[in-house]
Amino acid sequence: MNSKISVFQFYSILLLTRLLITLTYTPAYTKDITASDMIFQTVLRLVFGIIITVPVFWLNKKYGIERRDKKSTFNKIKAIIFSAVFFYFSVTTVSRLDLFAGTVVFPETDVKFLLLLVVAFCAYGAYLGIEPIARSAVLFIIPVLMSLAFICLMLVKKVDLLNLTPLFYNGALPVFKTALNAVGRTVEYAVIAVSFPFVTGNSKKGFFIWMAVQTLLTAVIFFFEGTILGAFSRMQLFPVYTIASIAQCLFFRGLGTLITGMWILCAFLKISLLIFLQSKLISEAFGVKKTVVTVTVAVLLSAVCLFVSGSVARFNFLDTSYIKFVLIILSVPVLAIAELIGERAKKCVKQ
Amino acid sequence: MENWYRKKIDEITAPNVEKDEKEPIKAEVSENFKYLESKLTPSFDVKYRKSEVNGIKFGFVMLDGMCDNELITEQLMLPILNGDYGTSDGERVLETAADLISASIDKSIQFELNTAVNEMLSGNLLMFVEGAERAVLFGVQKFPKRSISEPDSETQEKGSKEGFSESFKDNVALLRRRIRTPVLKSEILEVGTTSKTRVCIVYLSDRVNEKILASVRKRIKNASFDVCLGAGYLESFLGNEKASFFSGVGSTERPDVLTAKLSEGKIGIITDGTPYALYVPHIFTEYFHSLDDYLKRPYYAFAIRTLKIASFFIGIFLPGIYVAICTFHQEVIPESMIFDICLQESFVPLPVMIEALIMHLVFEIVKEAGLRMPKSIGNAVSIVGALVIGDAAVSAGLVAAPMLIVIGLTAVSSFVIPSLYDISSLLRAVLIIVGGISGFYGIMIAFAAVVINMTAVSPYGVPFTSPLSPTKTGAWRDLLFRSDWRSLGKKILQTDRLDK
Repeated sequence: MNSKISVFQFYSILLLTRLLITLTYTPAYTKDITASDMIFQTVLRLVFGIIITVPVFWLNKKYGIERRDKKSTFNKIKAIIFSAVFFYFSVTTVSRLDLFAGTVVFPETDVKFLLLLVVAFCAYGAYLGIEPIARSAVLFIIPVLMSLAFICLMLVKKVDLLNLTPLFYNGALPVFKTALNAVGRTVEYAVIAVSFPFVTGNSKKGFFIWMAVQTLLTAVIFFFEGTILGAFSRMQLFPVYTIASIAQCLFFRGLGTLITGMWILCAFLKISLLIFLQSKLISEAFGVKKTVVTVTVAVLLSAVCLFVSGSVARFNFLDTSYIKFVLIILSVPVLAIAELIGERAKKCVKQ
Repeated sequence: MENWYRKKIDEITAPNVEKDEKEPIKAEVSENFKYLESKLTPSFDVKYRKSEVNGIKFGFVMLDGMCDNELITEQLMLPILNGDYGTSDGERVLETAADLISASIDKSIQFELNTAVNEMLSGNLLMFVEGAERAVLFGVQKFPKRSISEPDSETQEKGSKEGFSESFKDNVALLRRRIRTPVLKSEILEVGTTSKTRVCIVYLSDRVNEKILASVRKRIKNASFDVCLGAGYLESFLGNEKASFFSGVGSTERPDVLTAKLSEGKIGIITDGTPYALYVPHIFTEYFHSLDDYLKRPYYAFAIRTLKIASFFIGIFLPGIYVAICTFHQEVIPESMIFDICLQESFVPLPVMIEALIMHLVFEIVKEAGLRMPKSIGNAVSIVGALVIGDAAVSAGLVAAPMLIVIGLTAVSSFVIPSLYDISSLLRAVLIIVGGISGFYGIMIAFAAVVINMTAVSPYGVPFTSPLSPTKTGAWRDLLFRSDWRSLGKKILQTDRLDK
């Protein structure tokens, strides 16, 4: 029996996975962009995000979800492309977590064991299926949002509006570039493209609500980051963690620990979801057992992440924005447009 | 491979009992007695009695100690032996004799000897009549049993003081007293190839989910074991099939709680010889609800439930978090506090994680000893364990005082919800280890894994984490905050959970 989840559950997963990107965002890679620009670019990337997903929703509306034989050659190619994209993003997520653990949490400890632990638990989550992942997301979303609100509340006193510079201080181009980069970092668009078969409800409405909420959350986080750290945020590896670390509640300090918690919960869901999707796509297209694919993906993921672990140079190479951007553009609008053309041509031949 | 393994396990665990053969009841009483003797000898407690009334031979078989002798003498033997049968035809005599018996005694006709023997072994009196190829069973059971007493582990402030006992008939009667409508159904099944333990499925026919009911029946019928000594045997058959900390099967010692569960459309399973009942489907939030919540003002229920949830999390996380803070995350607590903790911990020769694990182990030992010991000695054990060992360990510098406080608080918190004790004890140990190895990082990963493990449990298609996730806001009126009875009583409670 195919498991199905509701739109609310689906976009809850995506909200957390998208929040993960914001929490772990490293602005050191984006030059010439100021705090105000960072806030503004969230609106721009909302627009870009909607533009690149239009073909996906159009395809779904026009031809439905069960439009092709799952074992057709096109579907096989599609499964390979999406699996590659998801694998790549799994690697970057695990490696980023590994980088965080290795530099911030345990700077003097070898964290390879933890990396393997994370992959193993995520593979277990993927093995359990989409329903447990979705239910967990709904359960996690409450503490995660509450923690975020709590940290923001504790940081209100530290906000300094003078850190905000005029918009487009260094020109408009860096802002557009950053927004496009952000679109490239959003694997959720690719997830949406393959998730229609197991999501019930009004996906379009859910998508717009999700876009609005995640934009708002991102803007709030960037506002605090920009106004508290100012230009100093450019020098931080994980600025959101930094601002949380200077927050204080009564006699408790260092609320960065809360960020660590949120980060891990979100990463757990994201990696589980990506492994699950890989196993689902490959098993459906090639008729292989899901468990076999899950284990294989987990082993490969561990191997690649172990190779990347401990080397910032390798991580930087892996985390290149251009690669991500190309992958997302290829897997989301390009594939959808190709499929649309294919379906239309098929229709014409039939007529 | 899996099939081979299962086959082997079945071979090893298969009970070594003869298969029941169909043996018809014979017309001669002596032949029937011979058969019974061959089956039951030596059994000193099986009593055989032959009597003759107006030339008609009667045979009686019963188990001494399991039948009500007074009832047999006054309401059974007297009418039968003084009866006027007016015929020598065994079949007609048997029917007349059965009719002479008061309606308050259960009667059933048997044609097959093995079934009749099994029923006789349950405390029924078996009667043969010469010339009749049938026998009559009379329900005259009177077992030595414990009277109804207050439940030990589910004490309530305002609730009834009645708890389930080992007699399943009494337990069903306790339910009948609370639900006086014909929709309360009770079905009897048998489990255990040797023990033939009776299991009673109870439900309210107007609201039970038929699919779930069929599944429960099937699972109980397919439960294969030799002897069933308690409802716990059935739990693994009724519960979640996936490996999980949570089974999705609830248990209660209280008839009023089971009544409430039945009214929500759940199914109760009462096992003979077990002083508690199981019910399915069971969901996670039910662990935090108790009868007192419904008997007091809603605000009080809210406070108590919040306290229970907090206790549950303290019981699981506190030692792990303490170990993580001491080992990796000293920055999260104020300097003055961390200095005190560091000072105390510096005298302890063991790493904090090992210290916590040892203290956890010591506590579990004291708890086990207190539980298994006679009550009079149990208290002494607790005093020795908690005060003497604890105080001496701190004085000797083997354990830091903050650690003792943490373990003590954890222990008390974990007893707030006794039904979750086993799970919280296990998870606590796991979290101490991961907290010691990988700090909050590991704790969060373990937490996420436990949550996903929990969300995968879906007993009978009802998600274990509902109505939280999947969200069913209709049931939220009785979640953390309980609505007032005026609004809560308007609809059947939480039945919407049952339909996926």
